[in-house]
Amino acid sequence: MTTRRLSRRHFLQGSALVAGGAFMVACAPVAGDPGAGAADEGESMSEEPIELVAQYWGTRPEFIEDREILAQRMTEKFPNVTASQNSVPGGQYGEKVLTAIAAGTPPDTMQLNHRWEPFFRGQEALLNVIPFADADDEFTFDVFYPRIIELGTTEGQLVTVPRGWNPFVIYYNRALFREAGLDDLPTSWENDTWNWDSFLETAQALTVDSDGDGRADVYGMFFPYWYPFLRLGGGDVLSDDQQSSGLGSPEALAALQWLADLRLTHGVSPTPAEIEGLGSAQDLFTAGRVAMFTAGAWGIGALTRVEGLDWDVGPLPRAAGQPPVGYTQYYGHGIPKGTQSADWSWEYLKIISDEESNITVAQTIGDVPAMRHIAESEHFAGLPKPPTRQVFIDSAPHMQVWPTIAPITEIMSRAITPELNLAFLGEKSVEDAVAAAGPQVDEILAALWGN
Amino acid sequence: MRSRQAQVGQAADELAAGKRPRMSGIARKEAIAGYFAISPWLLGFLIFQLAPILAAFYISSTEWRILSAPEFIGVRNFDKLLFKDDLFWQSIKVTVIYVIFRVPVSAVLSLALALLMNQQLAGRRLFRTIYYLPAVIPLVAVSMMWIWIFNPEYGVLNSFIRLFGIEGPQWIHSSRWALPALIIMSLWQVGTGIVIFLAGLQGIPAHLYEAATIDGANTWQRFLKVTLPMLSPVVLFALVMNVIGSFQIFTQAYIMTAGGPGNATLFLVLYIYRNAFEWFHMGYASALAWVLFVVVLVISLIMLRSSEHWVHYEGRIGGA
Amino acid sequence: MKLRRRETVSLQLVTALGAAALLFPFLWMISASLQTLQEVEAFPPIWIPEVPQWTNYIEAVVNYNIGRALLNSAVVTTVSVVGQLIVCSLGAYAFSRLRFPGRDAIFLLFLATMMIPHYVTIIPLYTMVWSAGLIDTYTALIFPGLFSPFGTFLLRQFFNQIPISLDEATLIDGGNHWHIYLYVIMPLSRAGLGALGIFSFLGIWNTLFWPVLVINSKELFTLPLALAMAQGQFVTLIHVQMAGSVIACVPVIVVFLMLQKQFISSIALSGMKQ
Repeated sequence: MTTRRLSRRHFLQGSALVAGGAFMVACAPVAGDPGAGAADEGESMSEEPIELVAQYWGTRPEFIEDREILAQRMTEKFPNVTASQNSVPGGQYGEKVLTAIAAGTPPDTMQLNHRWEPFFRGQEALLNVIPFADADDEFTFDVFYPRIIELGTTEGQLVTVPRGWNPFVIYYNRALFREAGLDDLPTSWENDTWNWDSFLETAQALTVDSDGDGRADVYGMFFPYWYPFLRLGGGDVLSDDQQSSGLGSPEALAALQWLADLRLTHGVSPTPAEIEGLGSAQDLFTAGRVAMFTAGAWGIGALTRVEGLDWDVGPLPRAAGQPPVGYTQYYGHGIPKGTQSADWSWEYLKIISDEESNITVAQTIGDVPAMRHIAESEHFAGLPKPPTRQVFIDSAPHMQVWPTIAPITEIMSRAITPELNLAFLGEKSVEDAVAAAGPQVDEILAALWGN
Repeated sequence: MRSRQAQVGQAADELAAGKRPRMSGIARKEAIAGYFAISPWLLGFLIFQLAPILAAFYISSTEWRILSAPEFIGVRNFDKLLFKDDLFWQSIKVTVIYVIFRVPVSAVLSLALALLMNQQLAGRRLFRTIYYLPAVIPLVAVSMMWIWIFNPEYGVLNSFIRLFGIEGPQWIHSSRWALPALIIMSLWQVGTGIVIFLAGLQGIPAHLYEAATIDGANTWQRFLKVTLPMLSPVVLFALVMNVIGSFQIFTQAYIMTAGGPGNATLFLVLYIYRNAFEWFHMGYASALAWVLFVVVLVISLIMLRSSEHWVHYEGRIGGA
Repeated sequence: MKLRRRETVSLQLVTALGAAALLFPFLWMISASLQTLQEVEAFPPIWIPEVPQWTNYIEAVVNYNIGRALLNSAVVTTVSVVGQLIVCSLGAYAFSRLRFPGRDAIFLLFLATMMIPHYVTIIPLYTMVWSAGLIDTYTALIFPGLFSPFGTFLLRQFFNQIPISLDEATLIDGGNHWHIYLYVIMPLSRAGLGALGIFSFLGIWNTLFWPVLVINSKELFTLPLALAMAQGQFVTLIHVQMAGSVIACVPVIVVFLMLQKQFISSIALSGMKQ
């Protein structure tokens, strides 16, 4: 298998350099044959020396260290394997991996999340991991949160073995709450008192302009993400049958209007210009300039490192008449088609997703592990800060995720975000923005479904 | 005017034509040297210029999302962009507005400054350095700097406007002001134009001014009758280059506005970039790039054609 | 042309005002790069920081990995410029001086492609780079830029102005075509080579589009890419961003001040030759 790959690459280099681009494109390689994979076991699981590369995004030191350990563990378990990592900046992940696959040199495993799983699945670039799991006695999906597996499975195919998930919660500054005479947030997702009305009242009570210059010194709330609120309000970007834009529904319009009003009418949220000058939501929060913000569990890691900051988390507030929504982003790893040996990829994948690795997710990275018993153990739930970690775990029954259709990134960044930004700036009404985005969404969907 | 070398070359060709089309030893040596000298460049040209052009032509007629082989769809990409894609027309609109404002204003500005520099002023060299400096520093750094200058809350520009008791616009945070902001920023880099015009001004023979002065022309008349006509070839060149460059604006929008707010600064090249490398529609992006070429080509040709009416070449000035 | 005194004074004033306006953003950038975040936000703006915050620079160097990026930019730019001068001058020499069958056809073909914007070829070029497994290499940054059509064209125009009698003299003295290239054309074209060199230096040093596409790892970031990525990836604060920008500007400004005359004539020459 290795030799075939090499010769293809040579051929590619040759044709690129000698015949030039025109020829190149005409014989652009097609991603590996879908038949490869679990079938050709035995033959490929040899003792031959083999090099395996796991592909990740993000280059923060703690990430790199974690991945180094995973690679070492793989090498320890299989002495003939030399495992390594390849970590690229988040913004270049798709392009990097896509071209590596197209060039016939895919990584052996690759990281996937709400953004990249739909994209690469849409490109038919990923192997279904279910056959591997079925054939493997060491592995079972039962240890994972069933809802993650359920949400990730489309048409009987699962391409991601989950590693961690990031339930969105409200992070809040307890000191600022005390100053404003407010109680701690409730911890239950099912309660009725923590709703959009009380959320707004809380944000208003927290917004302070102490020097009277007309510019708030502390903002009650900062929402870097609008999508969770859309879902909380019972709306979504797509219609239920995924054939058209869903933003025109009364629920979606009301939710977006409410979000826009937070900044435009109530002034409880900073403007983009202020955010640009002052840093991320987390920066503003740790500087005491923002009293509440929404983020996934990744906030824990960074905030825990800040000394003297008294903070805690609460559930996302419920919209009137809507059930609780635990919006979450999960991530994990998959196997690209056309790897040198899918079975070796699977072995690497198993280490990246195993119990020990889940413990690292909980303790070092700060996300919620995908394995339920690890999440609920002393490794995550039992850690001291924040005191109400149970809020993350309790969101599980209400778990909702980002849309999973292939062109979702294009739908968002091309059709929806530019228009909604105008609405959130107050330049357009929410209705107009939604009306302008709708046909663009429909067009992308029409191209997808082929009508 | 033909160069001497061309004349010699032609003479040699004529001689050769009279003989058998067989090369003499010297000519063969020269040809070998010629092939040798040109081969590195020629190879590079074929691989990195000509082949990609042909490939781009083919790609633009396909739907190609990188992993699957390109699928030939004829002119459907062009059909889509011309008749079905509002964002394409938005990108054309934004780019054309940018060019229409930027090119003439910066031409007038740099001509005026070049005229100033051409005077016997104290510290001329220092001023020339200062005026040219903004044109050499990296555009990424320039863009980051101007993000903060334009910041409506903390930026130095609105702080300045506030001194007059007015609240300045939201600049790059407003769909109305983002494009003007980028145009204003582009005017900061007038240095290249100044240098080109200055070189042109210094090439105008002094005797023409003397003759005009003797004829009783004042400063303004001298500018109209001598400076402008003599400078017109340089003006044409500067305008064409500026149009070609301005149509390809990318970095500022990539760094500062990401095409927004709304799609207020979705320039054509940024739109090409997003189609190709964010959404991976390679065929469509190639078609867009060809449109860029055609637009630039047509506008350059129009400018060159119109130049017959306003560009004066040396030979004609006395008679005109 | 003599100006009256009052005219001179007012022109002088206008020039100085214009210069001040152009310097203003620069000065603000430098000032902001030395302030605390509170000072940057202050209204009215503070121009002289109470205590210059040199730590902003340290933070920028660490966050942006500036040292490595500087090195990468220097390597890529130097190799590209030198390589381009060699390749283009050889090509231009052949076009200008040597007669061989097919020369004019090649030249025509070449002229026909010159108007085509870089962005047309970028997708195929990018395809070639990843097909050849060259993503994330210096080669990908340097190689496609070596064969500049503009450079060849510019130098050919220059070489055409060198009297052919000098070539003939060399040939009569027993020299060959390489001697002409090395000892006649190249020394007499210093201005043209300098012009092209500086032109490419600026272009390559400042370019963002191509590095964004072909470079993934931090270790190979060029300066503009390092700045752009830091800006996009993790939000850093105004004062640190300004420190990073100042650092990115310094090398170009230093080179510019050292070679100012050549810079000016480079622009003027590439602008004047038609």
